[in-house]
Amino acid sequence: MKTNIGNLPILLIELDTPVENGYNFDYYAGQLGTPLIGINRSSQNGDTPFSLEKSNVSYANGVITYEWEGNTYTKNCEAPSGSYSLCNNLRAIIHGTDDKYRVWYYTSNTYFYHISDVVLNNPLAFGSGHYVVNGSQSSYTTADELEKAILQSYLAPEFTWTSWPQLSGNNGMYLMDLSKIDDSIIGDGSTAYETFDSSLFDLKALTDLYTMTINLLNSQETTIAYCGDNYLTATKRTTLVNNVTTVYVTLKFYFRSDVLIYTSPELTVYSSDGAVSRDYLSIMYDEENEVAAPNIIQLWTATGKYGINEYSLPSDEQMRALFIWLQDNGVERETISPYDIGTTDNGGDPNTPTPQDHITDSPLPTLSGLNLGVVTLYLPTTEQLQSIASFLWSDNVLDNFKKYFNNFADNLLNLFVLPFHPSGLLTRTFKVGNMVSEITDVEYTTQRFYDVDMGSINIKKLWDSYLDFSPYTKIEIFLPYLGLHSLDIDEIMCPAKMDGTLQRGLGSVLSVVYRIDVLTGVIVAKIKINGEIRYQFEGRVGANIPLTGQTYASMVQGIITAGAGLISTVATGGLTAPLSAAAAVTGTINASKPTVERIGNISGDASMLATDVPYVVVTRPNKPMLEEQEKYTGLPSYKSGTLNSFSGLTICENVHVEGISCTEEERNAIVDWLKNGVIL
Amino acid sequence: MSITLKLRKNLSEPNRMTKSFASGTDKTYTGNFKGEMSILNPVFMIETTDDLTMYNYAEIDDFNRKYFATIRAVGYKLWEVSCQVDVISTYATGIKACKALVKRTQGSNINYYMNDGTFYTEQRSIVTYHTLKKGGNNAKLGTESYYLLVAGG
Repeated sequence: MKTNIGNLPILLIELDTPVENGYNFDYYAGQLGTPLIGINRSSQNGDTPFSLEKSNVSYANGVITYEWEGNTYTKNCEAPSGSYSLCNNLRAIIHGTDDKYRVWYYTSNTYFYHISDVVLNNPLAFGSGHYVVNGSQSSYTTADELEKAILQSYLAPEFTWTSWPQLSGNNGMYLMDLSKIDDSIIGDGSTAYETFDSSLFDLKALTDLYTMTINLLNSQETTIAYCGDNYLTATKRTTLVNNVTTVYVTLKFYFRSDVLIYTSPELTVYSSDGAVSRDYLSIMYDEENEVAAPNIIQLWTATGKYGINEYSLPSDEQMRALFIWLQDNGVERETISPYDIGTTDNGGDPNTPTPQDHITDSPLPTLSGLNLGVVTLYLPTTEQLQSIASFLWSDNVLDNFKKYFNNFADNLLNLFVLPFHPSGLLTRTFKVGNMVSEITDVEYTTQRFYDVDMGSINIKKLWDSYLDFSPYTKIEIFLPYLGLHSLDIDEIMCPAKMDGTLQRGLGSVLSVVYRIDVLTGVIVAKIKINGEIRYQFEGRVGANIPLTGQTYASMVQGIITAGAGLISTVATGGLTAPLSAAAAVTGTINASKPTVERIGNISGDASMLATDVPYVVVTRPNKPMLEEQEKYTGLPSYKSGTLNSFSGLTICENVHVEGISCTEEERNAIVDWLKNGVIL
Repeated sequence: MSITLKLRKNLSEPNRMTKSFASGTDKTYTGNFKGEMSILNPVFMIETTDDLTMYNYAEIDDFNRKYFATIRAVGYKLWEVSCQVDVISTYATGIKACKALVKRTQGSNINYYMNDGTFYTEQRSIVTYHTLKKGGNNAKLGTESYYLLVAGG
């Protein structure tokens, strides 16, 4: 699960809670979704950076430099005060919610665990993205206690067990939802389950172990099911004794690809003397998808009904280890998958991708014009504004204005409403021109531009196939005060990494930051994909309040102009569509489905009346669930290789039939068969 | 020349490379050529009281080939067996060693991101709406406020 705290590409966290026995550590910096890097201060050993899975880490003059996935990153860290010593056994987990993070670490004999809100604190002092954690900390004396604390605090992930499709033609991609565990027995995952859901009619013949392993080679450990980085493997052994062939299978369960947590006893799945066992593989999980484990169910039949004869279960420890893993952020990475990840040998060289550059965000403009004394931008309350009105229309004030200006309006430049109120503003006594009122504590700002976090959302895959991409799947985003905009679902589903290669797995985090000019109401929305700026749209917000007849006439003229823009926008297919009316019609005709206008020109005064919450609209195709479609149509491959590396129904685009001693008539017949489809 | 013909009951699809057969039903017949015989499409006449109506496959080791068989009753106890070579099963080992560009397959080497129209989609679309969240709540720009811009400072 991608980390997304504050939508910042670099995350700095300061733990302000002291650690016992003099151990302390200060600042971490980490790329989103990656392990953290930390800087420790030691009064005795000097500044010592440490890292988790990063390389070439160094610290000098308040700057951490490190490398991650081939890129070099730097981050400023201002030196803290006090004495700090080395904590060299840090383990950290950043969890993927917007406002929560969890970190755990251990010293030589004590385990610590933080769970807390993340609070942005004084960003100017350390650069944006510096956070202070004010949450509680707990310490534990055993790793077991720590693990329980972690697993009890995490949200449930979504995961799917899928059978490995490389086996026989009897076994394709399907969910192995065969049995369930009574959720009340699971509790927090620290106790093993003891009961079955009574419904075993979901057991499918395809999960008969003999069927699943029929094409396996003897003594060769082969993956038969997976979930993310979790794998279930089978190893077959065949014996021939007294003319009786017996097939045995041993199952092993790995998580994080290579950590073996479960080995089944050797199961007899076939015997030529007729004593065929009916062992079924099942992935057992609870109703919230919090816990899952492989198990073997041996069925017996009596009076036409199924019952449980025997089944095997992992131990409590194995279950808890698995549970912890499932809560970690590795579930959705799927670093090993049956999908092509861009390693085909045609159409360019995928081994030499073109690295891309970060699109760096600009700092806030500093020349605002509000700190020169020429004009002042007040943010009065309603009551203060009423007092200001009384003050402005007093005879004394009007007389004074006449000394300096021909028009009263020359002094009152604008009055408007914005749906935004900066925090931490200074106050002063209201004055206009050289006229000082008695209205005190009126907020004003000398800062004209502000960055506002407008939230984020994790866009996930649905079908895990080409159906998750355009033109089948579409995505639009509604930006308050800016309108509805179409986004490229292809890039959101599978953005290129900074090294130019495509990311593994589908989906990304979409986040939005508004930069607002409070003097004019102009907004620039920056849409980021996994923290990288990918879209920028502009608009305007604010409702003007007429001060004089002149400003009222100007405002009405502005509304008329905006209305004319609305008509034009509808005709051209949307606020952002850079098309002529004729081109928009052509585009509609060419689309598989008509484009629907969900919203018109939302900007300026009208924008104040529209929805103020950003949201995305995702349109996805609906694919019917077809049982074993691969048996009837095959699934797309477009890969080359010897045919013994393929299995099941295989249809060739082209084939070289060579090395076979046959007649030419037979050779041509073989080509025809292979092009029409052969079950290998 | 003496030749041995094994008739079998094939249970598999014709395009399956490794075919399965009804167990315990194979019939073996031996005879001699009377004239020319096609290797790829041989035709045999068998006189037997056996019921051959359900047999559909033949193997001739002398020809090193396997055949789809079509059996016709041509007289009392007389059957005509027309064979057509099953190249897929006959040359299975050699075929598996051939190199190919595979368009579709069932087992490994699947690329679900390759769009060849494999998956069917309904006219019904799934349209969902999701708000952007900040701190677990719907994100908003902020609260309303008056702004008054005046001359002087």
